[in-house]
Amino acid sequence: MIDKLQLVLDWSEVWAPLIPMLFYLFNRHQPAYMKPVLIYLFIAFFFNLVGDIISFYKIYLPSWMQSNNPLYNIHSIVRFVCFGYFFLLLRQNNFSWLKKTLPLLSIVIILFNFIYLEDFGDPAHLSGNLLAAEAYLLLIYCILYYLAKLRDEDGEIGTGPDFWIVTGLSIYVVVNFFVFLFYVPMIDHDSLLAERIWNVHNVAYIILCLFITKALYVSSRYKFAI
Amino acid sequence: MFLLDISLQSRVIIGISAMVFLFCSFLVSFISNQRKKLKYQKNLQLIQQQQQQALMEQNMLLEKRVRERTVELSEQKDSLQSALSDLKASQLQLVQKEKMASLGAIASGIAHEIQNPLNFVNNFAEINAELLLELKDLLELENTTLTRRGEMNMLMTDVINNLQKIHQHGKRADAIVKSMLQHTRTSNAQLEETDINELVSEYLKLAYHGQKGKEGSFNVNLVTDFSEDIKKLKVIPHDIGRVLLNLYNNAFYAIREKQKVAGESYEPIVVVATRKTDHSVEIRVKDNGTGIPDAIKAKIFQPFFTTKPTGEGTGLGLSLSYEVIKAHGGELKMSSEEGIFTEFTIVIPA
Repeated sequence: MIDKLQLVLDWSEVWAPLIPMLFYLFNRHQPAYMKPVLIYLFIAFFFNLVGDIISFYKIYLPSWMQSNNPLYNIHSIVRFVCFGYFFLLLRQNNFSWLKKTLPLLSIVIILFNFIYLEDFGDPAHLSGNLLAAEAYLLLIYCILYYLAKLRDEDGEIGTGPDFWIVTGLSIYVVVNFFVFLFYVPMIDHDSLLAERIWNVHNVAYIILCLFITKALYVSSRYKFAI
Repeated sequence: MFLLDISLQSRVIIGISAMVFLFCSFLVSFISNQRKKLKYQKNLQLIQQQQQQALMEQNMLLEKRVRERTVELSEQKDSLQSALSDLKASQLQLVQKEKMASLGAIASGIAHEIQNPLNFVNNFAEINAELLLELKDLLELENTTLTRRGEMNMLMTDVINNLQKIHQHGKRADAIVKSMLQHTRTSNAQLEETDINELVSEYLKLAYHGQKGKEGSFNVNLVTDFSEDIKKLKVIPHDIGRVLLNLYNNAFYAIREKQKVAGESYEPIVVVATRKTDHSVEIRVKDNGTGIPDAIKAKIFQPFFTTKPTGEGTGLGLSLSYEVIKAHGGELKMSSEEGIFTEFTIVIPA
């Protein structure tokens, strides 16, 4: 039973994005700011599918194809780009300078990371620093969103689809910041613990996908209400 | 490729520091935001209080003004009411005056009509008294001869004749009074079958003699043209009579005024005519007097409008006449040319 549950969790990065994707297929009319999130879902599904296939069937693959680390790196960059663009599309006038600065900062971090700290194509383990930095920058976006909502005089928190996406993302990045930060040392010290800790990431990812589904539902309900 | 290695301790410090920094930044930003909001709320409250204060002051001022204005309006209302009462009283007085004027004209006419038979009565009564005295003297004589008997018979015959004449003229006066009363009774304000030609004629006589009574030198050429095919109409004779009297008096006034300026060559004429149309009867009163200027033509039927000097007219005559004819379902029309003529036409539905 535990093995089966573990299998389900191991493949969660593939099936979890399918939930909002399927919901979207039946509720296609969504606001413009949802577009980056939807694009992310399709890309993430593709990368996660390929990544899991590589992870589970690497013994059948040639040696140069046995590492899924570059896919995770690209996934991380794509996630940052998509959600960063999502936050820019939200009509919030507060902290706009900081929001525009964060992409530049991310470029600097990515370059610094792959020049001085990690190897982009490292076959041994994923780029924990990159993922942690990405999670941290996304968390800043989320906090800026909540602050802007609090500043807004007539802003109602918790009613729009954007709130559900940001909340799901906040949970994902807060949980995974420490997972990503300590994942590489953890593999070196206790690979079994690292594998189990990755389940935490998977659960957080399922939560993110469910919150995105909720956002799509709220958005479609808004449309009908109008 | 040489890569820097970050130790676990460093990762812990970096991770915790990053999160603490983020949390503190959020906290500072949140607190500053709340303080700003509080300050804004306070300012808003202050402004609201100031506005409320100003509003209260304005309200008080407004209430004070309303009270003052109410007192003012109340005073104005009292004053207007008093003025209205005075005006109503004046109006009643004027209407009464107009009635009295009308009555005066009628009385004057009646007096003239009765004067003639009365003169006869008086004269014949005087003659009879003399004849009876003569008869008495003859009866007192002792020897009554045949000649004296004949004289006495003649005297008796004269007395009887005179008494018959007195009776005849007395009856005439009685007929006149009865006829006038028929047309001047105010209590009888009901529609009656009336001979229009007779009514027009009688009131013309009344008006003429009334005018003559007031002004002995008054002279006018009265021309009448009564249509014979007019049947009796249901009208209130007294009311129509008053209208006619009013029109005749106006006509006489107009020719009298013109006489003053026109000289001896002027021949004053008043034409009174009746005519039957398809559905109505027309009574026309036309004079060749001063006429009515165009500027005042629109006002002549307005109450209290008059061109006569103070004391001579109330300004109600034509107004009341208009109302009377309207009440009969008819029309009172006027056409005039200044200095040439004025013609009033009464149209009464047949």
